[in-house]
Amino acid sequence: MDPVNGLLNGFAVALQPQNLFWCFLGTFMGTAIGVLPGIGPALTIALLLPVTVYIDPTAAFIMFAGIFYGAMYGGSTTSILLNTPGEAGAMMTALEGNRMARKGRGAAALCTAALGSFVAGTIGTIGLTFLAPPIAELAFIFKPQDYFALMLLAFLSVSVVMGSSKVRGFIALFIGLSLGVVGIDKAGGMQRLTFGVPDLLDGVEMTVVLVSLFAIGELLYVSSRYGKQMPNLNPLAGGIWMTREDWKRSWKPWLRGAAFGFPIGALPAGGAEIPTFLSYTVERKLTRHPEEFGHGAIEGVAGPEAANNAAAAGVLVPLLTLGLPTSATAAILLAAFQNYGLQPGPLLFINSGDLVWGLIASLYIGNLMLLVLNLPLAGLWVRLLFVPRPYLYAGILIFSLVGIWGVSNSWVDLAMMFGVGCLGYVMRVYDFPIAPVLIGLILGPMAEEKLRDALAAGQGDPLTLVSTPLSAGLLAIAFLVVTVPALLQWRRSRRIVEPADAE
Amino acid sequence: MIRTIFAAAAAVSLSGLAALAEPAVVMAPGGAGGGYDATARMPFEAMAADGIFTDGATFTNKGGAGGTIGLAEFAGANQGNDNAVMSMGVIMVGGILLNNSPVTLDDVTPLVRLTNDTGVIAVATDSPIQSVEDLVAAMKADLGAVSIAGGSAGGVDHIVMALLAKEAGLDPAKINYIPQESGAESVVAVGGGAVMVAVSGISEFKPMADAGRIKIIAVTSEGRVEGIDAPSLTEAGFPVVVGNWRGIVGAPGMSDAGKAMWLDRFTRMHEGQAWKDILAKQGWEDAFLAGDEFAAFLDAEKERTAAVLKDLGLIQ
Amino acid sequence: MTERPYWLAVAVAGWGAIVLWKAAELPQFHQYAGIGPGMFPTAIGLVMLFLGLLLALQIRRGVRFEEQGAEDVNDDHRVSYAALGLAAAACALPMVTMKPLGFVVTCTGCFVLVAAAFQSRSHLLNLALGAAFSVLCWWLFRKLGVQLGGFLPLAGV
Repeated sequence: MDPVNGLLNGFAVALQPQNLFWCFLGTFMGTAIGVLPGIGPALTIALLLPVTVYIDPTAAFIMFAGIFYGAMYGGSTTSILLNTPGEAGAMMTALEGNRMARKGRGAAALCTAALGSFVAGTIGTIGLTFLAPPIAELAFIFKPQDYFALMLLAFLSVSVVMGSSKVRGFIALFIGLSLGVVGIDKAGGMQRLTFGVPDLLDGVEMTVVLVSLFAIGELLYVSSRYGKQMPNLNPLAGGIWMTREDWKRSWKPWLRGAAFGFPIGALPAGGAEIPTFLSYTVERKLTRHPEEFGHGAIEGVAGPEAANNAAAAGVLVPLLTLGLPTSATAAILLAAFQNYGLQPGPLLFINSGDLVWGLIASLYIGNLMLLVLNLPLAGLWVRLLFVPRPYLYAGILIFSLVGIWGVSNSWVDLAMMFGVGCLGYVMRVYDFPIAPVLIGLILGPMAEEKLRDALAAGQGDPLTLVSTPLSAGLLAIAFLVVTVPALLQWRRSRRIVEPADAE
Repeated sequence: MIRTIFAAAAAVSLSGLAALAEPAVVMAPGGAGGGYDATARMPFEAMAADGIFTDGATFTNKGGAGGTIGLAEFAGANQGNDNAVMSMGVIMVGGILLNNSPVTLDDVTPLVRLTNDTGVIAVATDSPIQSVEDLVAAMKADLGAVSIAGGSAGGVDHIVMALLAKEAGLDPAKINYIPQESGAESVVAVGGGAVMVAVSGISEFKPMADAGRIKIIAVTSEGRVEGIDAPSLTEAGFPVVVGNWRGIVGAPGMSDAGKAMWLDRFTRMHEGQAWKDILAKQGWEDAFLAGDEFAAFLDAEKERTAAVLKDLGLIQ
Repeated sequence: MTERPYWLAVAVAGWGAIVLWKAAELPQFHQYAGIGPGMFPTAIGLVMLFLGLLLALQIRRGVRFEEQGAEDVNDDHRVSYAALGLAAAACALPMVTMKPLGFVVTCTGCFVLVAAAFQSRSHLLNLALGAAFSVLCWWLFRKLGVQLGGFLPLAGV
């Protein structure tokens, strides 16, 4: 079946009333669970998938599509309103989005996130429909050295979230890197920094650090500085809709975010984090309002959120075409396919064409449904901020505990929650940026692994690292990213000095 | 990460099976959706369907460190409990040694081996290596130049290559083994030419080989495997037989009566239709081995694994 | 305000030293990759030692630490250590009670403590609200398949 006919068939399946209902139910539940702080998309999907066991495969897959995209939407809401991202892909959204919310522009941030998710999700789904086979080939083309170069480039994006002090930014980054080496070394099977604790053998759990650093750190910090009188903040001060200016500043980041997210999301070791980091960096460099970054720039919400959702669509490419699960979410979806006796891979489109095209068509419909569902809800979600503070923060702590305790049942993770929460408090008091810790924790182990893989395959020859056109190109870009701004700065400072000399 | 998410996905089957009297206590020392999880749940599904054991079971998923964290919790909480069993497998045998686990399989009661996943060695379709002979020749010419992708360091895939190197008269510690996060990453690494050889389970590589992405040059079972056009390593002159087997053990200090009860249940389950259906659906290879025979097999596996890991320099 | 929090620099350098000490036990090189398991930790430990030193120098020069803004934070910045203590106790409570007393009791306790930290004085009402909310969460997420443990492990439920 060629894509156009397949898609038309798919729409014929997905637009049947009962299937529309399942799609709606999926999007609704996905959003509702995904919106809870501490519970991100991957966990949401894991929680809701078993529900689909009770219905027939076509309806089940249509519901997956709804849950899948619904969970991605929900994740951004708490990041923006409460500064409590539930997964790493939503972290960059929290950076600017929460600042916007604090200025009373929460609704606009939610709108641009929802619209960006819709635009990028649709672009990603179009890519999935028409480009899946060639994009899936990227998996075979990317070598460890290419991944390493890509990650190095992503690392450089750290510099833009480092805040006012480079020293403190680097300290935050290296705290993350040091947490990242904890556990059994993948390449050699040796224990690193585990201090003999068995629970640490598999490394520090990223979600625990994320939730503790953001949600618990925020809780401690706010409680200690909370006054009886409500701060003068009206969540609706900025209106509930995007202004003309917001639109003008959002649409390009949406498109650029989608351009980063979809192909990188389709890579086996790509994921949603790297495109969000890159998107944030690029938006910060390209914006006409650099002074607003760090204080609630709408581009900083629009870009990463679009990248995050496009990456989600990208993840489906290798899953459906090659049967390769490339992320936690995809692994769960693969298990769901297998529950129905289906093996994703090259033959899936041939053997179960109706089902696959129905799923793809549902992705379009689910995406649209989410937009319709979420735009009016943005104004409603913002009212979450009217919940009395004692109960709001108590609720955040309990949801964090569900996410941390429910996943691992590990006492060590509870201790980590407390310890990292205290770290988050100290970092807030002494103005250390938070995001670099997570970037170090996520990218550090990935980059180290790929570097060592590449070198081992090349038997230690450092030239391996530039042996493919892609790796050489990416490293060259990385080099320019570092040197060009430094050069420009140097020239600018000379130009300022020279006239002074002439006088 | 994937593992923990799976743990959360443990899901509905849990609530569906509880409720009845005296349910069995079952530990799956890995996340939901993984191998240990299925090995724990499926037998109970089959036993319930065939009316062999209908009292239900409460499952706990506790992944981490090759299953040793789940093992420690299981052994600690169920001393002498005739009603408690746990799924396990060859990965745990190695995991205990690699992680220096204080609790070992000597502390629990071996019951049955249920399934097996045969290993395969694969290369890129256009690779100069097209047979086991080519592979060994290439390794003898320059051991470091033959980069090998596979599962975690010290795991079954690594053991396959270590034993092959040893049979070929090479030092296992010197093979250029590059562990990957998953079978998916091994497939793309070898298919795209980032490494020369990859080792994984048959279930993970066969679809890609059928699609013409990679070429399987050997299987690690005793003889050939139906549907795969490749000799076994033994047939090619290197007697290496390794399988990713999984089975069930009972609680520490299980009484003889309790042991006999479970052996009887599993034996009847193995003969029943429900289990055969499950094997077919999951694509599992039947590898049933019960009681003392399994205990003897387990001892041999422990000894062999310890010797290989020592050769690899991964344990002292 | 010329606060000089040298302990921050000591903590950073100290953690760097611990990382370095643990990394020294690992092989630094690998036969094929060159980079061994210990090399990254060693590098990280060294850089953290250096960063600790830099931070100490900055503190000596009297660098200012501006607290980060947050929602609900009052401008007058009066730090209430009593509230911080209560909130910290709420976050530490699960370590003590989660295993023996279970999710519901723990979360009820956390709820009351956090509410108290935010200066809510109606403790009995909070207790009732917290208990109801915790039970609801426990029931709902258990239904969804999250392993939250028993209702009251002590009572064997």
